Amino acid sequence: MTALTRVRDRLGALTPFQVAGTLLALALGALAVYPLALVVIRPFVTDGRIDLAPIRDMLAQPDLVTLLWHTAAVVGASGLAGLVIGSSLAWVNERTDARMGLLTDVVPLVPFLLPPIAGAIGWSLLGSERSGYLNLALRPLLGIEGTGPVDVHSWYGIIFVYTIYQVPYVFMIVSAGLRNTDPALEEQSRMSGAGPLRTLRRISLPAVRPSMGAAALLMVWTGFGLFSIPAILAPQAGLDILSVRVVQLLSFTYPPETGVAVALNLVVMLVVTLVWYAQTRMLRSTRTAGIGGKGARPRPMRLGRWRTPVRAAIVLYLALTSVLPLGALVLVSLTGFWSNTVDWSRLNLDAVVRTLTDTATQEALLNSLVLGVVCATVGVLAAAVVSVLVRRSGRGAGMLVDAAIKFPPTLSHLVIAVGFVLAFSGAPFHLGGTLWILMLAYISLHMPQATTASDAAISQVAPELTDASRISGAGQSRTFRRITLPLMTPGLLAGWALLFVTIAGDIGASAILAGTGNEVVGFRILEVFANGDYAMLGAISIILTLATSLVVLPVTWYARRRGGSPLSRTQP
Amino acid sequence: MISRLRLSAAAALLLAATACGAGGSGGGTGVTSAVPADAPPALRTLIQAAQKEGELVWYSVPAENIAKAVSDDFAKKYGIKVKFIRLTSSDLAQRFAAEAESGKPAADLFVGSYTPFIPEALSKGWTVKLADAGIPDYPNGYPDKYLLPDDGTAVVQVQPSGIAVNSQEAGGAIKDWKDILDPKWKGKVILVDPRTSAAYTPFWNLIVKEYGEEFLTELKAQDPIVAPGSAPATQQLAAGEGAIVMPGVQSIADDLKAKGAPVEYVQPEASTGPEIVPGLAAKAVHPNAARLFVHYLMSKEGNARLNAMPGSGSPLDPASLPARYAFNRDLTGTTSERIHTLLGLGEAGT
Amino acid sequence: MQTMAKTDLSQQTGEPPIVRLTGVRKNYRRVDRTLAAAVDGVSLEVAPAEILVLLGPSGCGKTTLLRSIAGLETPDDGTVEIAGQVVFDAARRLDVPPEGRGLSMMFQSYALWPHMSVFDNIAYPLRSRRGSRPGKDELAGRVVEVLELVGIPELSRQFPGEMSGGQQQRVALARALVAGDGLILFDEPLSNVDAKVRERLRVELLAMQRRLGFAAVHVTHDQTEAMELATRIAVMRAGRVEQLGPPREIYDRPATRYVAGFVGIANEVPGEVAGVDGRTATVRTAYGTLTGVRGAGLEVGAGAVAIWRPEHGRMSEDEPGGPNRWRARRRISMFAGPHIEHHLDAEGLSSRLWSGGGDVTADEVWIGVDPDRLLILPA
Repeated sequence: MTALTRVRDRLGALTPFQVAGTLLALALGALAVYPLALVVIRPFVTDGRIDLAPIRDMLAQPDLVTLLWHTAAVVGASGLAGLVIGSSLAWVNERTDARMGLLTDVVPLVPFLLPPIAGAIGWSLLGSERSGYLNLALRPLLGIEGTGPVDVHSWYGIIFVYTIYQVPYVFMIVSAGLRNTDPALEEQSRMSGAGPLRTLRRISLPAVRPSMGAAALLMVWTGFGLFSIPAILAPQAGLDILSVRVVQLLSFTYPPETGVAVALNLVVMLVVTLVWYAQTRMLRSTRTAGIGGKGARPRPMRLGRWRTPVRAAIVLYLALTSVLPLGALVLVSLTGFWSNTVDWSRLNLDAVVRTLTDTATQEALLNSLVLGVVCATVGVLAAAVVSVLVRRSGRGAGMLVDAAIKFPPTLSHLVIAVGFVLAFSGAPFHLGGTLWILMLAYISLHMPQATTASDAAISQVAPELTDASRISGAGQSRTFRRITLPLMTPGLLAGWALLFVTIAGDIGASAILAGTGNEVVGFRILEVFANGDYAMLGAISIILTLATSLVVLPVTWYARRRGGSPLSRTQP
Repeated sequence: MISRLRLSAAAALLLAATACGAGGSGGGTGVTSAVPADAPPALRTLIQAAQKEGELVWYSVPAENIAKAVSDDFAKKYGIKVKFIRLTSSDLAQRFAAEAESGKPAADLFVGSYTPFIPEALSKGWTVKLADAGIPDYPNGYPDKYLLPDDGTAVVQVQPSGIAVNSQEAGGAIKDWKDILDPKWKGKVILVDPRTSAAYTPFWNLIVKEYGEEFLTELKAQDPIVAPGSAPATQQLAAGEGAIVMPGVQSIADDLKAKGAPVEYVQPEASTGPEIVPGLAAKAVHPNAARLFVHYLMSKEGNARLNAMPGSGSPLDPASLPARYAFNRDLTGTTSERIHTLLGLGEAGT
Repeated sequence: MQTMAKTDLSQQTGEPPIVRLTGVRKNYRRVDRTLAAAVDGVSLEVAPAEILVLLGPSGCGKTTLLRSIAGLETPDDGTVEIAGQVVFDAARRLDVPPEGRGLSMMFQSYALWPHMSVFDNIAYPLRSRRGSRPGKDELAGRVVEVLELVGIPELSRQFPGEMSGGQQQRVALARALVAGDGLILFDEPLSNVDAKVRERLRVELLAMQRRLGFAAVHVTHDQTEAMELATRIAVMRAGRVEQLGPPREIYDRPATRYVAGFVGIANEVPGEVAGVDGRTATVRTAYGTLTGVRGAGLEVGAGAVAIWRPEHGRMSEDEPGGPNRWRARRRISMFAGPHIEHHLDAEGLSSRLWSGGGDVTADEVWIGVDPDRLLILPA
């Protein structure tokens, strides 16, 4: 058999779905790798030869150890806290009688609706040692003079704010996992004499380990990437955070020290790779375990005398993470500036009116919401196709494409955004200054979140369900449309909501890619921040949060309703 | 060098061509403003060519309200649509560089801080020297010391740094830089993090030049609050987190003061600060409008508009500058690393 | 054993087989990374309207073989033919996907789609098949018909999550039947319901098969199920077909100890071959020399076992006549309804024997087995 006929045979064996899906995966991989290569390779090549000087320079950074230690401690501690809080909230909401309907369904996600820069400012307004609103309110109650009791510019303060932004990931992914775990496992545990806590620890949590693995990966990924929060809170605490250092290296002076910055990012990539590897191993080993419900509706576990305290704790958490920072932003927006004395008679809506009547802001808001909807939809659908293909192909090529899609966004978004300008702004694409370039960048940057959500969603669809469709005479495309996609929907909608929110409030890529013709909210927020107008920043953030809530809350509610109905029993 | 010559030649050719085209129809199409009657012929030609382009896009480091006022005035005067975006100095450099390298600059010109980026952009051919750009009558009597011929540009605005104080905490007590070192301000000085931009290096060089390196070590002993930028620093000041912001920015302080915040701005005599220069994009979509805009910014009228707000000094109005203003180019000697170390800040950069 | 496998029905009936497997092999990688065969060169044929049961313990490769027929597994070697069409040929790299093979399958887990109503689940194969897609009325008619056939006409609007396991099973069966394919694959479809329901479904399934006339390949590890349903049984062991034949032949004349032990209860008496003669063989055992039916592969002097079924032993207080008799001690007798099960000890070997009534009261008894009912097989 000649090589040619063999190739033709191979191609003949591929279905149109596989061809289209593979092309899509390759396109996504190229979209992630190509712009990056334009920026990243340059510092490592001198006169046509590979030059590892940037790595040497990176290792020679005088305070490298401090930098890595601070970063690892903040990301690690907030990740652990996020895992504990997020999965506890998910468990309480999915499995116990302490749930409170829509309140516990969606409110854990609200802090996430606030763009991180606004959240960080909100918390610095609340928790600054002398004039933080929270301290001003607490001091008379506790009889303390001077400063404190809270200081957000501290180890615990920064870990706390990081945690708030990590919890929603865990909550969403673990909730989905719990929904697909047979409650009989837990009922059996209760029958065996284990209390609710023991059941949670010994049965429920191990059963959702794959979900927690996926959440952990996403948290490490976003944790290292968070920039606004450490940029605003860390310097005063004397903490050195890697994402801030990278941006400093890139923007302190011109030309930027891209080499060292990228070399530092490689450290992050290494950590993410390790977590990713651990997670894929875990997924493989536990893929079929722990799941088996045949349509039994979980009966909420009775918490008894614990019910009221648990509910109180949830309400407290929600108040602390959602109401307080939003309240602080509302207050600063009504006051006009951050003040330690609130003169109620002088509050006014100037900033809100200015924001609402500002045409640039209106346009930015519209662009951001449209981009959010479009990019989240495209991204999630593409991720679903890729996940299906990767699951089918197992190791090898599938893993490679998966990695190509997932890893580039671990680099600083500033680097990637510059790559996108170099790749797409000029000839032959000429997308500079258009919404298209933002769309490409947003989709590419958020593929890790999208594929994490779709990986989790596909892992909950039992393979027999697609086998049965193939046997019934449906081809791969029809099986994907009629069986796989609908069954993945609850998980995908959760991922969609995540993507929509982060894209609508994106700042990292927008700082470089947005402009006069393609203004977006994130960029507007940066402009307003640089001007020092906290009042308008507060107003924009609140309006953005309201607008995104109006989209996200119904979607989440619908996803949960579908997820909670017998229809969602994706396991036969 | 050759490419630069070719560029200016191309610009001249373009000017001639558009001038011929516009001459026949008696002004740009759809443009309402007439060409000023008193304009010399070269300027008339430029105006007509610019009006034919009809639009201008620029990147601004000066604050949004200033950029808007200037844009509106220019648009009204010449009937050219103006779009701008406001960027920090380092974002501007990143963005302009990437776009120029991709061969499709979105901005026709930028008006940004004088940093090492300015000569870099010129040497890479991303910008055109103002003197070679065919701007009529350049430099048209512009004061010499504000011209930077080697870098192909000129300072159009100076933003002297000063001290912002909380009037309730430190009103009247602070007159000059050295007052900040008074032990009673320990823990109450808000230090704007110099690691965020190289634009702070000349300022700290000035302080070293005036008071020696001891000033920095003593400031470190004051246990300052490190703020990530002037904006959050001044907000913290308004709220009473600290009593003093160093270095303070007058436009931000005045803005808060106008809203009723207990914030005041103090301008010490010895000062320096961001020096704002224009840069013409070599491959601009609207090259003539950009040249006309530079001409406008360097004119008495335009420059006054650019520097109308307190906190910015006009090269054409020496009275608007601090008594002992020092130029960035004269303030070198202490490296940024040394400054950061003396201030007790973790190091970024090599 | 292979000689038995070759006695396929197609040669007897003259009709072409609906499934023909030739040398199908499927390898998998063990945890220690060595290769092992899940299916090790299986060749067999299924005649139209025949129920072929693949019987064996878990891990014997029966499900892998079934999925290879379905197209859900890609074998490493061999060919698969369905209704005269080659659908898989490893040498020619030909692999028709499952949807192109024109067969139906019922899964162990039922694999009902939770987002579709019962009606939509069952209509799905009709809507998905390439070529003749029935009209709306015809489609509804077919679905209702098959729902009535499986006895759940009232469930059409329900969703799988709202039904009992038995009902889900009927829906899964209806979905497998609706397309009217000549071949239906069953992957342990009866293992998930309780014994009563299972028995009733077995009868119904058989009745439906008689009525509709489809051929079936049925995977199970339950020997009773295999016996009741099968036209022929293929007993599988470690990826190979150990014996292929009608249930009675498998039961009465198991070709190996493994088959004898897996199908029904087998009392074994180890010994050494004393002689072979035509269709009979003698073996020296602790019970003395026993005579029985000669199995394949016996050599004089080599180890062998004499095997007898519990219902074929006769128990008496007095010494019986005939060649095969020995004394045993009765340990326990249990009433099991149709028969009484006696647990016996003799010369250190335990065995089981079923008798009709309580005719024997002594604890020391004589056992006798008819030479026709004693099978001598290689050890």
